[in-house]
Amino acid sequence: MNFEAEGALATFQTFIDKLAGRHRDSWAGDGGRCAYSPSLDRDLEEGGYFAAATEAELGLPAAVAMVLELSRLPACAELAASALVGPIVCPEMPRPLAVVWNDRRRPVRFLPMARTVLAADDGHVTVARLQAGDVEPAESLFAYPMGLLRHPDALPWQRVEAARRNRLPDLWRLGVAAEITGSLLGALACVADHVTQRRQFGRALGAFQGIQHRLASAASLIEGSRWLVLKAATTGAPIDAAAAIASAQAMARTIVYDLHQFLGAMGLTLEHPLHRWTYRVKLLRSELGGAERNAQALADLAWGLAPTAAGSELAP
Amino acid sequence: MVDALRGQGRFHDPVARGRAGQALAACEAARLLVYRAVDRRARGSTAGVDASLARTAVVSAEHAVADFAVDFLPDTLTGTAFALHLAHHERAIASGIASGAAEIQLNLIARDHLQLPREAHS
Repeated sequence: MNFEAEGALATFQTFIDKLAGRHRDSWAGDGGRCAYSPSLDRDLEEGGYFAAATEAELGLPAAVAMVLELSRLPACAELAASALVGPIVCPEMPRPLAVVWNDRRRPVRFLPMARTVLAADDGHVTVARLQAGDVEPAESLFAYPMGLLRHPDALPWQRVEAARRNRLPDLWRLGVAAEITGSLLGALACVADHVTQRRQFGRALGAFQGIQHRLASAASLIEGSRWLVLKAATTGAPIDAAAAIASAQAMARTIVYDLHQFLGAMGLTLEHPLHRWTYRVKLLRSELGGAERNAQALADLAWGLAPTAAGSELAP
Repeated sequence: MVDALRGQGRFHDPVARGRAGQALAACEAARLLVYRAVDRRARGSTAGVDASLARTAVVSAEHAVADFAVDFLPDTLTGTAFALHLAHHERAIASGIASGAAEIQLNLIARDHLQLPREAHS
């Protein structure tokens, strides 16, 4: 594994960094729980960024680097499904893409603006184009636009062929891990800035060792997860994708608590953008069964047991 | 340790498998952070705070593995039949002390990675 991006990948990352810079302050503190950014979505679509995963010189490492970097923004766009899943599992379908596991009646992120819904259940993967009126927007604690399918059984579902559907669990593990890790990177930077500026008891909050050590522990965990995600994108190996999501979901609970704690009462408000990252992470913690199930999946892959975790029913 | 559990027919326990998976993920994360620090040195840079990030992750991984043995294979820590388990446990309990205490690494991460302010001295 190369620890320094080179060639086309380095160039791609430069473009992503510039794009992120243009959208860094677009969190729109309007008091809403969710800040979906149509302008970020439009820039990504028009720039052709979602094709990276299938470009020979870029591939999954570029797609994952994009998800990691753009998840650091307080505003969100539909990233992981379109960057990782769409180009490989259902390239003929339009984006944005909403992905639902096991129960088509569940609330699903990005359904309100999705043009395609992908469902993985009963050992099958199916996709359906969405029309106006197919989705009911749903109020939610989570900082994603959430929605419900009004009549899931009436949609024109089409089966995805086995060769493509079997890649879904690993791609989704990778995408979720990248979104959690990127979101926590953004949230940690935001809190580090707050505790540097905010003074109590005659000094900056960030000068207290009790705060420093917990934020430093978080930084070490997040960096470890970031490299697990990048390794999984490089190898494409199921065991690496399982390690990435197990690590990301496991660290989320403690880190989210600490980040809110160090913002004090401001961390309980919608006025400050911290919740825009942490309430995305809180939803992602449960994807594919959550940290414990994904750790079991990792153990199954590492030590040769029959897989039992969520998503494994799609494995070849 | 997994081989020992499998030998006893106990690795089908989903709790044990989950904890083994968590420990494995911690080891893999630590391994990559160590390689990252080594890669920096190989390219002519100082490892700097990358070494502190790696050390912190290594301590966590060591304890994840040692705790796995304590929780699921306590009998192997008595007697001499499982020398590797004993050796690992003894190394793990010192991992946060040797080569610079873990708390010093956290201080360095706070200062050099997060750019947090230094603690004021009276």
